[in-house]
Amino acid sequence: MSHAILVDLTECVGCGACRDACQQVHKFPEIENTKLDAQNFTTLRLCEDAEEGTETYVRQMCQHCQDPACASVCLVGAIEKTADGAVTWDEGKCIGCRYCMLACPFDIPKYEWESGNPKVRKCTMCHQERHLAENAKVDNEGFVIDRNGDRIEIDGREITADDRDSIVSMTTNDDDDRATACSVACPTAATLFGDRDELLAEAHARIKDNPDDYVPQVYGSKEVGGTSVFYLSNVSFESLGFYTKLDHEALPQRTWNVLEKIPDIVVTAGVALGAVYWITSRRDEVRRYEDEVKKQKANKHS
Amino acid sequence: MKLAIPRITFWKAVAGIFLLGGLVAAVVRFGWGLGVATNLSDVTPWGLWIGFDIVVGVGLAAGGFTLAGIVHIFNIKRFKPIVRPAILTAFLGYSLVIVGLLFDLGRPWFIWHMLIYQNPHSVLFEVGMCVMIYTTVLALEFAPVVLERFRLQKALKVMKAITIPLIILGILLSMLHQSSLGSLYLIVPQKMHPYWYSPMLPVFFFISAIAVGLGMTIVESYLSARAFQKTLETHLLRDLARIMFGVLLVYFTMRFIDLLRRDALHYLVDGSFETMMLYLEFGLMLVIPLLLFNIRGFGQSRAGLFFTAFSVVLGFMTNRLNVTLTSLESYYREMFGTSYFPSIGELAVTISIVTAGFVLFGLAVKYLPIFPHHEEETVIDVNEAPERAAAPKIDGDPAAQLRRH
Amino acid sequence: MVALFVILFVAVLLGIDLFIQARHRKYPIMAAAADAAPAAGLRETVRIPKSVFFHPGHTWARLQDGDHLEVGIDDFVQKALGSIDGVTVPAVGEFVRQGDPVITLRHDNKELHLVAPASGQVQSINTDALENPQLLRENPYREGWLMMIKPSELASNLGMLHVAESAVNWIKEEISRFREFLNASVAQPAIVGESMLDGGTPVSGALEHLDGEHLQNFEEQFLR
Repeated sequence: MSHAILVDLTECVGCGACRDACQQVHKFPEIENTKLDAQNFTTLRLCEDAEEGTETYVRQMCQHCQDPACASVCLVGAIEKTADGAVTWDEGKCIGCRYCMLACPFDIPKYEWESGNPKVRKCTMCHQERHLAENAKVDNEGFVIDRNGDRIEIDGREITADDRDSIVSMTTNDDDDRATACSVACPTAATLFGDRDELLAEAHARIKDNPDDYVPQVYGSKEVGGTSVFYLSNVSFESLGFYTKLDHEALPQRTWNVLEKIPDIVVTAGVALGAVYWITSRRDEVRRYEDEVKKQKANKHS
Repeated sequence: MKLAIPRITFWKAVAGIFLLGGLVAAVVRFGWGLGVATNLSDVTPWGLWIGFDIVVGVGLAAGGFTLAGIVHIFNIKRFKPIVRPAILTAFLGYSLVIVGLLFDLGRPWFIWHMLIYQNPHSVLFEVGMCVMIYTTVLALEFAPVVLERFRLQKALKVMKAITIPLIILGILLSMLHQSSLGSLYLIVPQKMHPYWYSPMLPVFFFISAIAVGLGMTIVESYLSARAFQKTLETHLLRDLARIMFGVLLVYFTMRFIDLLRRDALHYLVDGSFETMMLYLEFGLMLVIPLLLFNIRGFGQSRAGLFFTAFSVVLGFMTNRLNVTLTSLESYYREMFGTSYFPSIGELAVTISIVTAGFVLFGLAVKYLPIFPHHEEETVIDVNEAPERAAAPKIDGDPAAQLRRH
Repeated sequence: MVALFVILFVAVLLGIDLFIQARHRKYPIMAAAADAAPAAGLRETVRIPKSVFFHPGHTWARLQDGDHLEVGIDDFVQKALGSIDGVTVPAVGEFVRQGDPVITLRHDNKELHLVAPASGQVQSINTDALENPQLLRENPYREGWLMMIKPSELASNLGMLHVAESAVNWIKEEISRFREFLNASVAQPAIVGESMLDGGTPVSGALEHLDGEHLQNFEEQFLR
């Protein structure tokens, strides 16, 4: 099942519980940061429109694209769009080229610039955290192990039974389903976590049922070929600083258009070069032979 | 003394300072991390090291495959004396590109991951593989020079047998990664200025690489003539320049049509920084070289050819840096209100890498048979010719008499 | 900004280099030790390739492909003349005889006639060099070749020519003889340049200062 997050900005009161929960579940220092960085996967920002008299809190985080540019450009395939819906980064593969940061149309991936062994960091959709409850076993030193008996690591940290319990409680919602920490923490249901198709239908239904309360757009449903984070708003997304100039075509298609031609180019050019070589060297041979013949004739005459 | 430091020593001193600066910067980079050593940030993840050390660097090393193709595939043998210096530059260039990459990567010790975790959808994967294989191919193409130096006849014979397949492979690899350096930027259409974002980027990158490969060969030849009295004949370089201009004309015609088709020409009068940089690119790469080349008496001389080719090289650098950095500036300004300028450390590393290129090229030319074997000659200093005591003595010298008549 | 900075930085380095080169040209004595580039012509030298045959009239011939002779003027006469405005050689197909004055060098409105180093039929001429006589200054033995002839009496012709050590000794003699010639021809030492004062007599461009009559003498004494 592919998951998604729906953020209804009209419901958001700006309490910051989502951000605090995010920082807690990832063991980040709890600071009110308005910019995403390696230790802030989500931010909350107030957009005031004096003319309209509106105040809107805007959450920003990874959009978890359906066809992510970051994953397509990663030369070692460290970034992956999982079946779960989350776009994840694999510390064991990354070589630190930062092409993902350049390629991301939403400028989401951040880097541990000060680290000697830097990681690329961004919202994980609590991918590992949500699956932690499935692993109940603990080894004799008190660390949680998976089915194969290997210790589970999140961000390079081994998880103790206590850690697991606190993480599981932070990622379990009122219906006893696993969900992202931000959606669990949200007191007004402004951030919902669930099945992507269902949430998308819900978003469209909300616009249809209350056309006066929303601008008629589900941000994230079409941008760069669709994402797994949707936004609803009652003011234009452009005025809220969203990236609104994006194509509806998935970006990786642009490079794939070129890359898929490579085998043809290699074969054609290889044959062409071989042919040119054969013709030019053959011409040389013929000329040398003719010269030889001419010389022999000349010798006979004299 | 009017001039305390002779020229060679002056540039040697400068090179020493540059290399030392690079060493210090390297210590900072690997000791304290990218954050301390560079001005890169979450907003501007790629900077001078990618833009210059890699994208410009690979382009400037394009002379290797260009000349190898002209001589061995198109069989235009008169350019043969130029192939070796061109392949040497290419080999050094690619080696230094890899050094530059190790500086830029956050976890350079994992660079081999590329071999086992392959992502064929990534342009960078393709570039990485091609650069790796091509550097090996260049090493093999260059091997005969070393084998000759140490007179290893058997190995030379083996190398000779695989020359042509090797050269075809090298050209194919170059076609792929030279163009793919342009494809790297195909994925950020919304971030780049319309002057430089084009679906044609890969084609443009490939064609301009051929032109600058030829230009670099002329520049190198001139510089080695100055420093080592090892050189190539002027008329060969002149022919190379003519081919270069042919390629440049094709390139700029395509660029112009592309700007026209993407409706980007109307920006040309907006007086913006980007427009100025585009003019600089066109001026240095096409207009100035064309003018220089056509100055009577100068354009065809060795120095004239040098300035012509050097201008093309500068224009090429402008183009690559425009694509990689200038074209993103307005996006960064608009979205984040920031801009990027390299730190002292970044500059020091880049400068020292280029310096290392010069030094290594110099050493190779000095100790390996890079340039065609030169006819031995005696050089007589006019002031060392014997002064003869008196005039009558000549008249009395029958040999001189004989020679005179 | 970065692009602009990089271009300016490279341009500044090039500028410094040009400045240094210019100073070397101004003070060639200082440069002599550091820079022996033949193309720059900073030191007063005369080059004698090992495989070239010299005619006493300061032209040379080199065997090419076994059956052709490449022909040109030598470094000494090129240097002595200073600059060359025009060159004339016989047309393709004409027959030249060793010792016949067939090559004409022009400088201003003065002319010098040089002889063919060997006899034979002209096969081809170097139009590059004829159009651009600067090539003769850059390298009179390579780019500055003038014509290719098919020799008719090679063996006997070669006897007249100097090669290798013999050529080196001969050129040394010629330089000395040329100095004496200059001292005798030019009453005012100032004409041939200030460096006369430090003892050395410059060869480069010395002929530029000679009038028609002395040039005639030079031709008779050196180019036959």
